[in-house]
Amino acid sequence: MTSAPAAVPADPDAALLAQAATGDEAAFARLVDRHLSRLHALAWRALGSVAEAEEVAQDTLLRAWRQLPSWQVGKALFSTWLHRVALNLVNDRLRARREQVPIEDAELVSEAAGPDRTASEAQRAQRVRQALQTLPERQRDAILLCHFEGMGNIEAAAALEVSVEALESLVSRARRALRQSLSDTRTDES
Amino acid sequence: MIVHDDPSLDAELELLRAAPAPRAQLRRDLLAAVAREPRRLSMPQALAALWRELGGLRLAAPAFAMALAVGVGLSWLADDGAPAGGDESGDDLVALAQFDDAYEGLEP
Repeated sequence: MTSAPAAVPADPDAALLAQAATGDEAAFARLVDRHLSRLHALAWRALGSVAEAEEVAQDTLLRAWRQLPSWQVGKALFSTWLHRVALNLVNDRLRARREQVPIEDAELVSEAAGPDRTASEAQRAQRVRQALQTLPERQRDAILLCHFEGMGNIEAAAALEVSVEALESLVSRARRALRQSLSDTRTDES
Repeated sequence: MIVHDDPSLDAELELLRAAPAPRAQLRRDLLAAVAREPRRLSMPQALAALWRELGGLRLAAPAFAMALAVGVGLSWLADDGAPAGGDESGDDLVALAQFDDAYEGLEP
């Protein structure tokens, strides 16, 4: 389900992109400074592993560097494109994991807890992550972009290449599924 | 913006909000990897890069202008010294072929 291409707002990265496209590594370093943290956080939330989050963030930005010479200004926001690539890489990894070991059987990893967490908070966070990981890919992508990345509907819809209505439906279904999954977990534990 | 009225779910999702910051080494590794990457340039970018390598307006432009001036000057001198109507012999041959059907000099 794709929407008619919406007008793309002016890209705040446009000037740096133009410089980096000519091979200017300093300009690219500034783009890295702008986007690395967000990409890393996005991947960490979905994967729960710092090492994998680093690989996803690095791979995404390296792909961007390779893509820059043929970058078409005005076709998409650079940040939108980066998020789309990062989500694809995250989904690839989750798919590969699922083939190796069921998510429910995966052990809690201490680095998945996040900074400054008590043990109980870490456990609850891990439960939320597991619920997130069991969502269908598109629903998980929609929650990650809309809830955690704070993207507006138009930008998130562009990143997922769906209409705004389809995005709203994905977010609603994702929240319903998460609510159900988390309440099931609580029931199992009590 | 989509509005969902479910504070308890939002509170649970917030548990994943605070993510660890990427290590400084990650940035360094990434930029080192970028520096090792071979650059793939589009044609205009490659020409622009070549122009810069040649010294741009400061070096390449005067050199090209000088080469062009020498070429034009030599061509002007060569034209000046050549016999007038240098390809008239060719016209003669065509005229001869049209005049004389038996002439075979222009046949393939």
